[in-house]
Amino acid sequence: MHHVLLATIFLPSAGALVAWSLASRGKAAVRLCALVTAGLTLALAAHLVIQYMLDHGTLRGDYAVANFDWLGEAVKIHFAFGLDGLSVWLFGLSALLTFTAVLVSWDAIVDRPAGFYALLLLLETGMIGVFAARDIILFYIFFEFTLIPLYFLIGIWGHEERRYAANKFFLFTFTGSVLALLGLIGIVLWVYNSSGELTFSIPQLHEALGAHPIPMDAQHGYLQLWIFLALVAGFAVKVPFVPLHTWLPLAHTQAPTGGSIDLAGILLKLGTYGILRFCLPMLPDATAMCMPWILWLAVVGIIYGALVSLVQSDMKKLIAYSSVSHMGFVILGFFALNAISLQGGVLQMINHGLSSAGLFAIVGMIYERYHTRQISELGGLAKRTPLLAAFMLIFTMASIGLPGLNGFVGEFLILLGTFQRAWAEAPGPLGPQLIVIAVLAVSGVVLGAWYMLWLVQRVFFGPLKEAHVSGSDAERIRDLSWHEILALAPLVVFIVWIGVAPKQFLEPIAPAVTQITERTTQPLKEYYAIEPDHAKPQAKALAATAN
Amino acid sequence: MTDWATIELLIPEIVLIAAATLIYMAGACWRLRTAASWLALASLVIAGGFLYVQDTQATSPWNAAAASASGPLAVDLFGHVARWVILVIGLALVLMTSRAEADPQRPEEAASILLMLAGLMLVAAASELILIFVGLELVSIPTYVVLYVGRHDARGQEAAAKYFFLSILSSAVLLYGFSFLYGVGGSTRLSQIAATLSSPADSTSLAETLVPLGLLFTFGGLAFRLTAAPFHFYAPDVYQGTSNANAGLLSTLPKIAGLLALARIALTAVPGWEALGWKVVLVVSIVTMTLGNVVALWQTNIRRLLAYSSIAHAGYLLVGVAVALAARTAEPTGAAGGLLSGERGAGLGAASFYLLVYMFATLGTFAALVYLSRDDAQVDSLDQLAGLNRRHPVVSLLVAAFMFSLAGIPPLAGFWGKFALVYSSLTVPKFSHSDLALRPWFIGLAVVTVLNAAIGAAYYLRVIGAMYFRPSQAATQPKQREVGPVLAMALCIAAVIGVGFLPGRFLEIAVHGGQSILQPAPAPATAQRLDDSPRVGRQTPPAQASAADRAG
Repeated sequence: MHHVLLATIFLPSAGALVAWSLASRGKAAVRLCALVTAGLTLALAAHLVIQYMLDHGTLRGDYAVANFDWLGEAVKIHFAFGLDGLSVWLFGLSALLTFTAVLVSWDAIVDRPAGFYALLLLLETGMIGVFAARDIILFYIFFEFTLIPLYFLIGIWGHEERRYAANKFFLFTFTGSVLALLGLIGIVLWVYNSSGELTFSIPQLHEALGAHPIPMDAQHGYLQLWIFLALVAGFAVKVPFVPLHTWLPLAHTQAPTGGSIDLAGILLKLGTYGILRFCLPMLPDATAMCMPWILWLAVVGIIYGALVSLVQSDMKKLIAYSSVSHMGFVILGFFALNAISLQGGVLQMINHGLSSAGLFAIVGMIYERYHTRQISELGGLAKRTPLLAAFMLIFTMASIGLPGLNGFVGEFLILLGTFQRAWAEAPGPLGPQLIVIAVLAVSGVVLGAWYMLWLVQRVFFGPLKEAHVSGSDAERIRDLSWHEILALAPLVVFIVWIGVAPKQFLEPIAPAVTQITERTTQPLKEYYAIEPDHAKPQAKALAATAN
Repeated sequence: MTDWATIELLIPEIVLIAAATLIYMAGACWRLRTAASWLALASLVIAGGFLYVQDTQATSPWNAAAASASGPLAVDLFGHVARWVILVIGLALVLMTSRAEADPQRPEEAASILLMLAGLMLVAAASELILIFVGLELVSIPTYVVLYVGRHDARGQEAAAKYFFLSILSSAVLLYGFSFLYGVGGSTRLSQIAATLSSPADSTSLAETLVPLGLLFTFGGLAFRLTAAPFHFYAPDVYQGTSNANAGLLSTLPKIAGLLALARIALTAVPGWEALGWKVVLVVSIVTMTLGNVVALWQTNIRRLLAYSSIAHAGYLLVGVAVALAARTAEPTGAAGGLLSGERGAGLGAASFYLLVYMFATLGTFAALVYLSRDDAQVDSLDQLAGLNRRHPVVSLLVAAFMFSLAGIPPLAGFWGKFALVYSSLTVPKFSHSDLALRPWFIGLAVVTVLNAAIGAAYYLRVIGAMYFRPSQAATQPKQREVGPVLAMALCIAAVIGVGFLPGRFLEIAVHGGQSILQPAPAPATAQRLDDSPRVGRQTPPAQASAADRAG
């Protein structure tokens, strides 16, 4: 299978080259080339994901592993790819959302389309590469590489403040990620020191750190904590954690719709994925130690993002701030460090990717029709564009967590896990703190329903209000076209599918999450006297055998 | 003591000097136009051929335990690879300056570049203070000529005069420092100085005071060439005042000279003084990179911006030197180092590799500026680059790639440069298992380095942003038919992308080179071979190795 995986990663790059070389043939040829490439990539990715589910639904190791010597014998950085339960859905989501991004840009991009689609496809290679990379430096290379295409996408095809937004986005995330590079090198060097073997392979590092964890005592200068902080500094900017979020509303608002979709849908997940892949399983002691702090940050993000969303007058900005709130839930799920909440967190990454991509696509479609994003200038659009309004309603419901749709499953699992931590498993001083955190998080759900429903009510219902457009022009505004429906429909399919049958989607996540809880159980016990997770008998048994 | 073996080793340099002389003489009689550049290119190829012959010989530095040491020369792997790199960079420089439309003073430019290259190659091969100094002067003096003929207005003359006086001063300081080392060591030969200093009988209190003085003066003189703080002040003014081609030359060749001489003297001549060395270099490194990056943020003149960028990159280079010096202070604990089997060579190897990728990105940028400029209208300000993407899409794409490489964004070569430096810096604590004092310094150095990379990205993005995000402010210029700068750009982009995707070989060679300099120096006076020294070398056939080298 690894050939398929390699093809999925590099096909978009090849397509980007072709699209760029078609520049002189005009918009139609270029966008067709981009659509075909994105479609083929999606088909390959879907094939891999389906095979993964059929063959190895509950696999613990990697799937479709490709491993090539890259830098030679001396420098043991490998060209290694593979999928596992943590990455398989994000991998598929990257391919899906690029397909969506190409379709929503269909008519919107008039200026230099060849460059636009080439960069969009390059971005896809970067995103897929991050999730498939099995070498710590290769991961970092793809992680950083995503900055280049997105920088140009925002800076060239963005809205009014695009230059400022592009620079701020680049510099914020770049500053964070260079610190993360130090952390990643730190992990490699520790493993080299303790085991005598130089390896950059993520599974090998994971294994080696199980045998020789990075020390967390004063004698070694709290090495693990420093590495943890360096990594979190990098990933927190991407997620983003609240004090570091200021680049996000700007970049999301200024980016072209296609860029916003990839940015909100995938690029924010690079941060949470990094935390999931490196911080939690490789640095469990520091994770446990910092757990309450980060939970507080997550909850502040949830409430702050929701409150700021409430007062926005710009639709795109509102949805951007709602991302801050929703990503707070993901972090909450991760750092509750409970098997259920972790599964919810992983699933919520996908859910947020689907619903925020849909919401940004809808806002883009409204902008194409009315050239405004101001809520006050619009109203009653359901009369003019009923289909668009219907899609908007579905994405809104998914976003606020209506039972039966995907958002509910994720948020429910996260909150369930957090409450379980708070009441059932956390005696001592941490218990009340966790209860407050969980209750505040629930209030975030309520706020989320408030600002999203209010948005829908103001823009789509009530008397028809169409600023800047009047008379016959207004009559000419059409409902969704074929390519817009094609862009939105797959998102809706998955939103409903995950909502109705979450078990299928949780199946590959569960064993991968166990690898994390195995590592964090002991530190949690040491730091907070938290008993092993009752919900997971395997984890308990493993912890027992370890003792 | 000069024998045939010494001459034989120096044939590549002799070819370059002969060609330079020929061009000077012929240029005085005839209008050479492009012939000068052709002759210069031919001499570079011939010199490369002779260097290749040395590769294939049994005494090739590529073979373990077979470095050629002859007379005042010690061609170890480090020096040998440096000579290859110098030839390749020289190729890019000659191509960049070969403009068909230029005025008849061109021959002096090509000839002077050849002399500088010869001087650099001498520094790379020298194991003796006088020869190092002669080599450095052979770099400096033609630079004055190039600066004077490069640009004729008042600013150009001011820049040339400024460089001239400060360069003379720095040479004097350097020579003063050398005189202390000579006085203490009793010889101009580096190995002899090292032997005297390490013998306990001679460690008098006089040496205790004179060696640090000598080292500081030497470092000061070389810091001028590296543009390290506080000897960097001339760079922004001179770069701004001179032509784009000359600025490209100034931002590369003197840095090679500085790194080669600094590595050779600090790492081989003064055993026992590394502890002082790394502290000084580390502080200078941090100050230099921070100052360069922060001040660059406010620049609007493109050459001034690149001058501060080159100052910042000098700071990064010194990270590797500090690491190499610190690694000398303690015996490695078991299998230390990490990145490569080169172990203690990792610091110097990282610095050399970094210099290489920096030079290609910088030269490529200047070649693009040369391509965009005309003799009567140099591209000066960032505003002139605004909207370049519309006028010259390919050139702006190349410049964007060079800028991303300088900023250290993967998958371009600059990323691996920064990676190697940061990695080697983080390995330093390993060398001092008993002495934790090194650890905070070098972890701190790594943190400062990456934060500086982030600051640096801000002004590189300004250049890219000007080209891509801003509307054009200049009228469309007629297409130029300049082959030279185009070829120089092609060479540089091939290197930046090639090394970016396949850095393994280059890193390996760099680290083995860095390792080779740390071996016990050859015994003085007579030509001899090192047979029994534990040299870490490579077993690959030289042909393949040099092919890889030339690809860069």
